[in-house]
Amino acid sequence: MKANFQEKGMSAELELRWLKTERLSGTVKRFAEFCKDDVKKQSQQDDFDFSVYQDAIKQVVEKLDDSIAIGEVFNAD
Amino acid sequence: MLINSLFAENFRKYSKLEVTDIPANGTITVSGKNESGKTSIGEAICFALFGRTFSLNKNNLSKLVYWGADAAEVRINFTTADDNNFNLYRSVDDKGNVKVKLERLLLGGGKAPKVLEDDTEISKILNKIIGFDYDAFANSFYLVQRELTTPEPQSTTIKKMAGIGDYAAISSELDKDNTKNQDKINTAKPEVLTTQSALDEIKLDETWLPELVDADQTLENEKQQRETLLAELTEDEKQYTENSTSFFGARKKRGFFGFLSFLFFPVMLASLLIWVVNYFRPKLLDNPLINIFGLDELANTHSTISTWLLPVAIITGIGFLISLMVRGKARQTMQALTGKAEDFSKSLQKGHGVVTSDVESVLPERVVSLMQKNTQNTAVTDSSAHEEPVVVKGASLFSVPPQEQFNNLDSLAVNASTYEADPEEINAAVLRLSDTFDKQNVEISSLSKTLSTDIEKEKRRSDDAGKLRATLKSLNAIIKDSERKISVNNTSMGLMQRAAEDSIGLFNKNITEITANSLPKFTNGRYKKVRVADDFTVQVYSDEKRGYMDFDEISSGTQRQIMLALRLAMSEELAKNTGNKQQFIFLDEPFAFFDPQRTQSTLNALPNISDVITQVWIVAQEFPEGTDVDKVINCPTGSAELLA
Repeated sequence: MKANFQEKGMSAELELRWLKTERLSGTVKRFAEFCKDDVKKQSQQDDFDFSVYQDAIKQVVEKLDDSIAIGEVFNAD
Repeated sequence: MLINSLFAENFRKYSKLEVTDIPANGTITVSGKNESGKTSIGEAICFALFGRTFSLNKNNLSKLVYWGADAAEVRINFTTADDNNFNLYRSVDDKGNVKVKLERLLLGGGKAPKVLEDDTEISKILNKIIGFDYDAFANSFYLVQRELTTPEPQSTTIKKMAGIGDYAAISSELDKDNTKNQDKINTAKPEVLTTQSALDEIKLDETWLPELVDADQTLENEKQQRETLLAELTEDEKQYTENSTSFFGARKKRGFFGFLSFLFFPVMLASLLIWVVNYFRPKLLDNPLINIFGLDELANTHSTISTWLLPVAIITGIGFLISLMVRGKARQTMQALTGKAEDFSKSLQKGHGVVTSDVESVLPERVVSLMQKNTQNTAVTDSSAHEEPVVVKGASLFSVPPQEQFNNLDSLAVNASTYEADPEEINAAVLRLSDTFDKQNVEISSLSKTLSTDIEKEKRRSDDAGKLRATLKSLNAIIKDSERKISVNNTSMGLMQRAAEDSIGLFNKNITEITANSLPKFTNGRYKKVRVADDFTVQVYSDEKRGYMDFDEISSGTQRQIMLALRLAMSEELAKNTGNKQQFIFLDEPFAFFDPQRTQSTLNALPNISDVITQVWIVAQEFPEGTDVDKVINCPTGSAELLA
């Protein structure tokens, strides 16, 4: 996988652009910011699987960011 | 989270309590003598938010009701980090029954928002919108004087402050999920082996069923071919005798009229020639006529020629033309009948080819072997069957008729093409063919029936194999999916582990930096630095000892000063990690062990210590004169009402 990244020049993916930290706050924001640094280190590992890594981030972010949409709660019928 | 206003009725010592215009940034002092109701203000906020106070839990809340009243009610208006504004009502009657209501206020109108009144739902939503629960609140933003402590090192609260509070719960959840997924794998793997073994036992050859179906279709075609051919031969044979008579009649007619035309033509030609010569050059005929009829008859002869030979020429000419036409029509009839005879001849030759052909040769070798085996089994086990038994000669599937029975069929077919074959011979040959075709079709039907049984059997095996393959696919998908989930979960846990270490490092760094600002002011410069170890134990740097000391080594009075600095720093971290850009803090009697000078300097320092903890409530019996505050609340002695 590491070789693939080097071959395909996937540095853009390694920046995790899909992970919008500006939309987050608190713990989940800090976690997301940490991931943006961590992915660069982890991608150096031989057994690094980017797909699994991304899914892992999404999973943790979803669990940390289970905040309720206040507007939806209070304007629901 | 910032508090904008506080209202209470019949709560604790107040029959009526109103605190409004609370500044978002600044210090709010709450002062009064003992038993004046200072602590009740903090309790009112705590009760409104969490349905309890520091000293009263859900089992003894009726003690909050003002003496002689039926119920106590508190309402606070607050703003959250995302600028949503809420009214939170909570009441308790003298039986301890609690009612709660949360409504979101819309600035600028719009659709009336929904009001929530379910206690469980409100507790859940409050935890989300303000970012902390009672335990975190009591360990950070709500400092009760007599309980000035820092959170236990391994408590949930301090982990929440460090921003890793949810990691443990999520990791635990993922760990359980891993166990479930591993169980799925452990269950599926033996099933894979069993299913694979069952599939192997079937030993399904993917080419076998199509081969059988093709063979069955071939047999059906062979049968169909015989039936079609038989129908053609029977029909052609019936027509052959009739056509033969017509053919020979036409041939006779053609011969007769051919002869007539041969006869008429020279007569017509001679008559016409003589008549023409006689008409235009009669002298040319004189000598021959004198020689034949004599001179005396010359004139009469010329006259006779002139009168009769033209009609003779015309009549013979007409006869010649009619003969030609009849002869031509007879030839056409012969040609048509010859075509039919040739077709019949071909059918006979084809029939000869079919009847003497080996059906086995067009079937796959494996199918022939199976049929031979089936036929032999049928011959042995089904000898009493009502159907015509299949005659098996040697290894052959079919009772191919003896070649000599049809050895004259080819020559017969050749003769039939010219109607030279005897119709009776033709009739006998077609009957023989018909009989043989019927017999062969019975054999083919019998084989086809057996083959159909084999096809059905093979289809069932194929279906069974298909189901087993589908099961295998499903099981392998479960294993693959579970393995990936485990991989993702493990990666998630690794990520959280590293993120937690990073957060703890940042937390410790921030605590050190924040306390480096407040601690010298609180301790009169005696202590300047605090550090929090990875296990969240606190150490204080001592200039005197030139090193870090454990918290226990410090005097209790100084401990409380350090703890106030720590509390503020940790509260700031908690606010940041729960998304609160601005946060209130309620400090009840924080200066109990402070001398006036340190109290003054702390009071002056508090509003500027943090960008996040901006609304600071401080409770004390009295505050030094000249203290710069943004709102003053003086609790009255001897009155049950407070309006501030």
